[in-house]
Amino acid sequence: MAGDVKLSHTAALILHAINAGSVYGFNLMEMTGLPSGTVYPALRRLERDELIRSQWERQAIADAELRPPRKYYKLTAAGKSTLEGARKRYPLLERLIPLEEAKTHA
Amino acid sequence: MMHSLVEFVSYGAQRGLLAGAAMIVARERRSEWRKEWRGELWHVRDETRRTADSPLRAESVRLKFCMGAFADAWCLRGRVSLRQQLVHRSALDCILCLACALCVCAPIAYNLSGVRAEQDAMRYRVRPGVILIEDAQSARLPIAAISPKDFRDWQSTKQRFFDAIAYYRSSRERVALGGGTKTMQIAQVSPNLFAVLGVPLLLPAIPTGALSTAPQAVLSYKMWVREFDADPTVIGHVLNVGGETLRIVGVAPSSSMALPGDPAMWVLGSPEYLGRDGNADGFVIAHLSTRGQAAYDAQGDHIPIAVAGGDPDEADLAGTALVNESEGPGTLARFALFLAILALPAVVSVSLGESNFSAFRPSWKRQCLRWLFLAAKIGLVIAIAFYASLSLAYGFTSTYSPSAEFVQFAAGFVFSLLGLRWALFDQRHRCPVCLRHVTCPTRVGLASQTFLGWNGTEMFCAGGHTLLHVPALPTSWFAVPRWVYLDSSWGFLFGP
Repeated sequence: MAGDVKLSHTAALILHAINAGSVYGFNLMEMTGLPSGTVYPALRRLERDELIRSQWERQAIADAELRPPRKYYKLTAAGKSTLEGARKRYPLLERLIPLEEAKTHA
Repeated sequence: MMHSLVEFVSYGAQRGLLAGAAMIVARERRSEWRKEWRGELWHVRDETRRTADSPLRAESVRLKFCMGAFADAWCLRGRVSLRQQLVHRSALDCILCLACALCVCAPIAYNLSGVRAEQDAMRYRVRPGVILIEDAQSARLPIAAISPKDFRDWQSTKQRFFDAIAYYRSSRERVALGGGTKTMQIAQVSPNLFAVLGVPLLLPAIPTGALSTAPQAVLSYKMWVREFDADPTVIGHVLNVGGETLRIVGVAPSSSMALPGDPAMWVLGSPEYLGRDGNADGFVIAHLSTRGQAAYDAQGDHIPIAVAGGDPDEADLAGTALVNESEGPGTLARFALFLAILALPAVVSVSLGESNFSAFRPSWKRQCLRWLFLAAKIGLVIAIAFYASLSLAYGFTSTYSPSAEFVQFAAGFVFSLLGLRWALFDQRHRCPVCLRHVTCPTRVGLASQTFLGWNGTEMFCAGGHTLLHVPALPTSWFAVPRWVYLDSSWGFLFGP
């Protein structure tokens, strides 16, 4: 069922970037080059459709790095199968953000 | 030091923006989203501090990030619940929307200088019993017939029918203003004119009665606004009118009195001064004494006046009452509303005209609430029509004018008519139980079923209280929309 979800190109790009691993909002903005007004709403919708899930990192880690805690996003199983469908639909997705580069950012 | 202060202020402003965006988010998600935005803002600031080529560029990127939070805040709340609210809009939403529209229209109308001028025109009215004495042959336009010399003779004679008289004559003169020269209608009047009319000056800084050798000028409200930007310090300034130097001693209020010529300025001069250019004729403005009023009442609105010693049957002068042309915005709006109510049946069926299939009747409390809602809606619509028409009429003019009054009247009529039509139409589509708008119109039946069954449109209340059947073709047995009340067994079909 989740695999049938039709994603916009932007949503597919974000899903592809998240696939690299645990990423947070600002990280996604850097990887995709999309503004906050696009990235966050897309994240909300993807989370609502249960294609991704979010998790706050532990406060201790953030304290150790002297920064606020981050909210990380991960693909769910449904998200992974949807992404597979999206890659077939948008074959150039890989070229926009090569997986290696995405993993480096993450 | 300065740089860190700017950083501190901008960080505070950006956090404030994020807090503002968080107010749009649903309460249960608000704190989490705000926490996430603030965490992300830290990263944006850190990154821009390191990479931006100028502080301005850095602030621009940070501001864009904060504005993105608003888009984020709207993404779920705005698209889902706002749509629901619009589709299933409740009575409270409707009243709030109308109240908001009123809150926008009313301050706009009250802040327009033209509206204030019209209020002044209503406040500063010519006192009763004032007449304009003119040529008896005057038909539509008043004809001047009294020379300054005649006026001086009248002044020196004891008057039985008038207790005060003033002289008035208007002509076009060249006025030097701000480096240029304009030709304007100027009235030459005796100094007691405003006292006879009973209209006080707006800015009487210098007593106009005490006439010095130099003639004095009173500006009309229109000229004061147009040429002097309503500057209150204009009193005492000197003007050159027709080659003569005049000192401004006051500003007349915006008035709707029907004096001939609609002058831009009033030059106050003694009878000798008025007669300096020969004996060009003018008018006399007089206030009737008790005896004069009795004679005027007996004659009607056009009283023949004969000079003492002359033949009363061959009077060559006549007096007509000086009336205020302005009816005032309230009177015009009431008349426009009256006409709109008369015209309403032509554009919409006035009756709420619904019938009920079942024996169920909403409680009297619900019915009262429904009527109260309709009354509140109509009241708000009328108030909005009033202020919107005032804003439209006086948005482009800064002084009282009959054409603005006409625009106000016409706009008031149209807005009232459309508003009342909408109020009734909206009421017919609101569930009598919960006052929510019925939704999801669905075509039911076929045209061929009109005579054996019915065909038309069915809508339902999102609260699950009612169905509304609207016939496509009104017939004698199904002429008006019909409410079908649903009992609680239908509840499972509708949301909570």
